[in-house]
Amino acid sequence: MSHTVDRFRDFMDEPEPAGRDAQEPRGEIGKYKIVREVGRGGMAIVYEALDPDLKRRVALKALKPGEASPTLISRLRREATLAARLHHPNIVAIHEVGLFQDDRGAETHFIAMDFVEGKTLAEIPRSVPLRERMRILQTVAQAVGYAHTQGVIHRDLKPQNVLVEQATGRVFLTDFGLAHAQEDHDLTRSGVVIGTPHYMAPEQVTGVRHKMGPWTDVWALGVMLYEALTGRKPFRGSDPMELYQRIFVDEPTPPRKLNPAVHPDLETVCLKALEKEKDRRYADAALLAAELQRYLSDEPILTRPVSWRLRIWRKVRRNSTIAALGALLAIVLVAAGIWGNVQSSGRNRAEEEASKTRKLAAAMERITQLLAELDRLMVEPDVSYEQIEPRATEILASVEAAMRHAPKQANLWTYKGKALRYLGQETLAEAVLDEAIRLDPRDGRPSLEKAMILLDRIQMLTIGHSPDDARERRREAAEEWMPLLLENLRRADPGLTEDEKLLVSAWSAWCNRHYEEAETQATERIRRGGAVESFYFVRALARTTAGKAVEADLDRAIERRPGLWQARFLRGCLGDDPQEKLADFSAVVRINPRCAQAYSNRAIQYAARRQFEDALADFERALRIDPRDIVARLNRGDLYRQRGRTDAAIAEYSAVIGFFPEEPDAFYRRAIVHHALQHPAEALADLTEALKLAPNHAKAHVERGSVYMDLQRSSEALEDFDAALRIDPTNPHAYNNRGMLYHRLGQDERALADLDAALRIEPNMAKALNNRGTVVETMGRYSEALNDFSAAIRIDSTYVSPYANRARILSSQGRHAEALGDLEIALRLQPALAGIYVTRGIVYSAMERLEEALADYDEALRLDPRLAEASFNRGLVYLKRRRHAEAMADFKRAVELRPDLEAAAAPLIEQCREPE
Amino acid sequence: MTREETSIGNSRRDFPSTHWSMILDLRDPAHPTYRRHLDELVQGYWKPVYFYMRSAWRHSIEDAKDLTQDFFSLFLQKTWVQKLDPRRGSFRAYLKTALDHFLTDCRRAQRAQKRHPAAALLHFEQAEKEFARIEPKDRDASPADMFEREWIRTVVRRTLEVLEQSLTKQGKRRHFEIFQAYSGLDDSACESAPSTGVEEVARRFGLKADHVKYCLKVVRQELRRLLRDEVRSYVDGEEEVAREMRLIMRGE
Repeated sequence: MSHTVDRFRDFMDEPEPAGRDAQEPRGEIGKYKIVREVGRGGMAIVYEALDPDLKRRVALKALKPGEASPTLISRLRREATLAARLHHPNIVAIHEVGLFQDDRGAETHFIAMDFVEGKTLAEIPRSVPLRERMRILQTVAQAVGYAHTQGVIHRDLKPQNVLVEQATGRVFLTDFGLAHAQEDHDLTRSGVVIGTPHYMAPEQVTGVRHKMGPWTDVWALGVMLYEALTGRKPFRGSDPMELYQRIFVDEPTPPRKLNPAVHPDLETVCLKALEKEKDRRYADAALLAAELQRYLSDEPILTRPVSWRLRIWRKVRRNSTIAALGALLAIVLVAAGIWGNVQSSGRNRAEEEASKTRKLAAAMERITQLLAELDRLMVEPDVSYEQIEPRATEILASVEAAMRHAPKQANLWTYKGKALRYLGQETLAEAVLDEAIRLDPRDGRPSLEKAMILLDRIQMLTIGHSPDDARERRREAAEEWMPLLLENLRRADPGLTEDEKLLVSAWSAWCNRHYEEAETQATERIRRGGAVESFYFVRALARTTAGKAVEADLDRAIERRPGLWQARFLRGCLGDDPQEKLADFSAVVRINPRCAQAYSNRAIQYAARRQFEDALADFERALRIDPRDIVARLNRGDLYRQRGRTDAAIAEYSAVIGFFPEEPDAFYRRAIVHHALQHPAEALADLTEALKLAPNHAKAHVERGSVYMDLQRSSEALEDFDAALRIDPTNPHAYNNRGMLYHRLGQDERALADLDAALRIEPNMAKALNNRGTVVETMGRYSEALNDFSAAIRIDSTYVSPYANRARILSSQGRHAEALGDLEIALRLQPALAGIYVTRGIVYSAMERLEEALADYDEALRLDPRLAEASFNRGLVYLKRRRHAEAMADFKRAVELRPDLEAAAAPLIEQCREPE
Repeated sequence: MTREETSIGNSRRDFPSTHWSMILDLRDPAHPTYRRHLDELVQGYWKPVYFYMRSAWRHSIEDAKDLTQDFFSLFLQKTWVQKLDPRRGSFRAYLKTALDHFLTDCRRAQRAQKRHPAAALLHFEQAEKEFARIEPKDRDASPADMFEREWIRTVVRRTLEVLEQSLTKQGKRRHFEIFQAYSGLDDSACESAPSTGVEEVARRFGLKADHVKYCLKVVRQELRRLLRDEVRSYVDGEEEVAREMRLIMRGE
């Protein structure tokens, strides 16, 4: 909290100086000379005074004039009598109890006692260390324990009644104003609530006198202990009624959930002091003092902690046996004296309440049982959704039923959220968990559940897909969720087991990008053995985010808990073996059939195996669950593109652009289709948009460079390839394309260097091999070229271009038959490629099979009338056949299409003009 | 508050403080009073929203500024307020809900970068300075906590701001000076001078210690009254007011 607010609060909290009342005594009371007022309560004022006889300072507690009813006077006298019985170094000693009458006849009843210069426990600063506070409380407990041995119960223990002497640090217990002796029955009537509300024990709230005893003081000490440990009171309410209800019904939040620094032993002691049933508390304060002493001497305590299961069970049982609220209301009504004819209807209500609570307890039991079953299922090797679904559905039904009785019970909402998570209904689960958090913000469990959902989501977004698909978009989306995740992890602390806390801590480290820390924490826990599958998983995630190997961790996590689909998913994403990847994604959807990303990842695997129907079906499933699954859409678009369904591909990419107009990958991919369809203008527009959105999109630069190349805009193409390589110096496509650009510009040395670079990065790049073959071929290195083309064919036997290229060289070496064989394959692969017909035409004409050559050139020109090579070569055949006019027309046409052919064509045209 | 900051909310002293329920009762955005009341609240309490945006770590300073501007532009344009139930408690809770919705919408729209014209001139420089002064350990608080803290701080500051005027008007200028000297609190942004003991203040002002104590008691009462007024300006219902008072006074 800010400085200003702290100071403001301090200022407002300062004790008010007393306003004077005309009737209040001044000057002196009896023989005592008043020095100053040191405090005042509802009925009495305390002064610092001087005892002139003994020349010492005393504290005078005087009843306010006008407040002095006979009851109060008796109480004051009793305090004195009781305190006078007590001789203990830590109990303020009483000197005198008296009555003073001033000259006007006004009476003042007072007690004179030791004056302690110092502060009350309520006033000592928060900065006082915990151990020191424990020392103070231990002393108080000891003093109270002593009083108990003397048969005195304090009944109003609170920090305001504990004084710490400034000079010595000695601790004094004071104010036995409400104390009573155990044998004393006169003064307090049953049914009257006395004491300070926050420190009241349940039996004190009910005002049932005979139930009060030393254990009542033990409770108050428990409250003080709780306050010292956590800085807050165990029970709070906006009005006394609510507070009483909470004291009666609520289990206090274990201190360690509020302050993890608290020693477990102190928590145990504190919670035992705060047991609702007096028999479960320490029988008297001395026992509590002894336990605190053990803690202070670093010895183990004797009390055993109570498990949370037992606590819940007790709570359920208590509710069912006493119908807590009904009974409490009755008691308070008795106290208020308005108990009347409502009594009988109250009893009915109590019975109703009890029956409700019984039903609730039964539902709870069933829910817990089902959750345990589900948990067991998750360690079965072949766990599947078919087994999960009926149980999770039944939990939902039980929760709904229980909610009819207790709509505001937070843990019911948490169970509902859990069940929905099992059913893969994450969004719904989130909303339900939010409600649980709202109903009981002190319970960390729903926050943890919610955090897990967010973690799954973030994990899917960040590493859950092939790394290049819409990476930015996914990273941004993941980061959008991050603060919410962190908030939930932060909130998740109370109510968790040690392991869950460790897990939360490791996850938080991961979220904060402290991967090393997350890894170390997980490793430490793994070393201790036990149920550590989740820790293997965290470690895997931390390691993979830090770029380390993780398979072994994932294997172990999955082996221990086959139902941990998140681990399978991650393994599927990170693994290399296509078969295993497929198996992992299949396992994920077997357990969680609503995991869209698993379907789209499996679809990608299917597509790679050319199981296109399966791939399309999985994409469809993914998109039915999440129509905005960007990766599914992009990849389905790619699949359409590969299958030649260009319209569908463009539609798919356009859909992505509709959802995410800032997604560069969608523009990029749509550009590829446009490029392939020879719509260079559209391709350029999309690529320029992609690069505006992602200026560092190396692939888009490469693609745009290729489009420019096609448009003969070499300098722009070169700029793009250079840009791509600046961004990503390991992009083989950029080298390959730039190499071809240099080749076209006649710079073959540079071309060769680029192609070599591409092949160093990607030795199996068939395209680069084919291109290098082409370059070295122009350099006259034919055997090298042959090797390159053959290598390209070995790598990708469906790649047409190297067949044609190899055929050309083979043919020039006179190996026409082999050449024709290559070309035949090429034409089978791609029957409508003009260039191949040209090449075959060349082979045929070399073989002097001129008719066949002519037919091939005709076919080539039919497929592509603008193919200069076809015209040129057909011209050569016509020339051979002495069909000069046709030859001349073809040469002229070729030069028209490609002016660089002029030099080669000019003498041939001349020849055509020569008379025979 | 410094001058440059109050310039966005300087009209607040010209009319009696608004009750949250009054805004809701008006329900007519075209009504001049409606707009003025809402503007006044927004101008008084925009900073917690900014701190919320700032503390969500993904937002850069510029993002936080933009988002804050966007939020209030939308807030003042939209008829969100009309959907409200006046029995629903406080303007703080309402603003917080609106903020949550806003961020969800932003997320949903993938932050479609549509900028709205600024609602009011928000002085981010000062806010940014204050944010920078938050202790690093406190900066780890969740955005929601940050929002609440800054809210409380704003309420306290606004209260301190009117204290001086109120006391002066009552002829108790001296009380205010004593209070300042004693507590080190004034209405300036967030720095407080070191506080001084009663004795020292008494010496400085040539008074008896008891007199100083008495003056402080008067100031305390006045502060409590003003604080309650301030809280009533954005909280409806006495029960809610009491709860809000507890939050501000004790953080409970």
